[in-house]
Amino acid sequence: MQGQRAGIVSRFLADAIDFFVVIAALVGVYLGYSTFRFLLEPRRFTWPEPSAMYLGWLGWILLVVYLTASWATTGRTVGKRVLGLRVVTGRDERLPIWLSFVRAFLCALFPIGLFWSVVSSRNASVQDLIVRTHVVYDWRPKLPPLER
Amino acid sequence: MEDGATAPEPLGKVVPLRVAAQPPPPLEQLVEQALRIAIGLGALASEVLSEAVARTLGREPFAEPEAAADEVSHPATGLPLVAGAALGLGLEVARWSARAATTAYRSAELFLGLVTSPAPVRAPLERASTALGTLDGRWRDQRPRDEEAAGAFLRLLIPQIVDATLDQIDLNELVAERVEPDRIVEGLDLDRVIARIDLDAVVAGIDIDRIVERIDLRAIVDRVPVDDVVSRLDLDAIVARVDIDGVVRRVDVQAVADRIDLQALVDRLDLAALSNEVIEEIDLTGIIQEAMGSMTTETVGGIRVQSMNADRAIARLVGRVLGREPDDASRFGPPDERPDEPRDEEGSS
Repeated sequence: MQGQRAGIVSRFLADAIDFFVVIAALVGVYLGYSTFRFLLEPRRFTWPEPSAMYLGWLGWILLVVYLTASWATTGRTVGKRVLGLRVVTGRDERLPIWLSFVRAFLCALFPIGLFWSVVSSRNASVQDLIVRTHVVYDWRPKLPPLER
Repeated sequence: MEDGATAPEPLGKVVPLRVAAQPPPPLEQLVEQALRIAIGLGALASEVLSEAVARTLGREPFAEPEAAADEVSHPATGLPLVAGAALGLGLEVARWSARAATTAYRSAELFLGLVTSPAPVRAPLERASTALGTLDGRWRDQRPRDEEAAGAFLRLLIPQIVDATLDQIDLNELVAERVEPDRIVEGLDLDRVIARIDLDAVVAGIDIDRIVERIDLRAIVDRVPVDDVVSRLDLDAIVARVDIDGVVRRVDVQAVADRIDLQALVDRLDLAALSNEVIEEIDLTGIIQEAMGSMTTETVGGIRVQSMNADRAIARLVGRVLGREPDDASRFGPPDERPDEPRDEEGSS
């Protein structure tokens, strides 16, 4: 089944894991920022209380950055690595960085588009249809080609 | 005189002369021999006395040089001549006297035999002979007592004479001048001498402890060239001759193990450091990581396979709902040539 397009269950589980990774990264950023403030002013330190909007935007940005970097390097995020999936182009190649950013932006903007793969005859989400990518089963490691 | 030879019992350390059992020699021979002995003793005595007199005067005694074998002995002159002539005359007189006496005795014996043959003369002679025999018997009866008394007297006298004589003699110098130890040793049968020695008694009398106490063992050991001795040893040959298997077979390993205090041994061990060394040597961390990785890989593989099966199930369900023909190849696409192996490239994430 290596190389076949993944279905909704695998992709949903992978995206759920990525979501929790981003949440963990958000918490890490929060804690890092708090530590930084503590080191600056330990006597007057108080826990920062950002707004939900602020946290939302920060989380959204982290998600885009995380997805872009992951797909541009290995084609996998943490979640996709666990489930053995990989994002590839129409020619089964690694995504270029601009394409990774576009796809990541679209996934963060319209995450519900994933569920289109349930009815799609090619297991393609909305984002896959737009940027012409697909997610396949790929359990084996695959190094990027050495550029000359 | 008794006929049989008698050997009188020694009176202490003084042994009297043995009584001869042979018939007496002729009278003239006895007299001649006696005169020779007397003259000889006189000559020896005069020589010794003259030497002693000369020494008292501080002069060396005159010693007549011995004549060589090829030289003619010169006759004596002067006083020695007169003295020697006198001794020779006396010797001849004595010889002639002995012969005359012998002749006279024989003649008288014949005359007496004729005179005493008649019976009136023989009876008194026999009575006289009997009386003489009785007197002779009395003397013989007293003889042992007399000899015993004489022996006691000699036992008292001779040691005094010997002591007095030895006082005048330097025995050490005498022995050194006259005793030849080499001749004595040559004549000794050392084997017999040694055989007579009771070595057991000699050894029993030796105090080994005292001897050992006086021995400086350290000095003895210091003089032993241990390095030279060891360098000359062929240790390989020595070890090759040792039956190590036999030695080991005779070792009671169980008894040795029973005597080992394992608790004390364990207490002396630095178990913490030892454990760390073992862990580093066997890379226990790596083994644990690999084991956990295997467990994780199996878990992840299981999840992947289950999710794939779920994908197919959903796809079939949706296809049935939407009225599509089941076409996994179209929906999922062609598989790669790579085999399906539920294996993650770097273990868990």
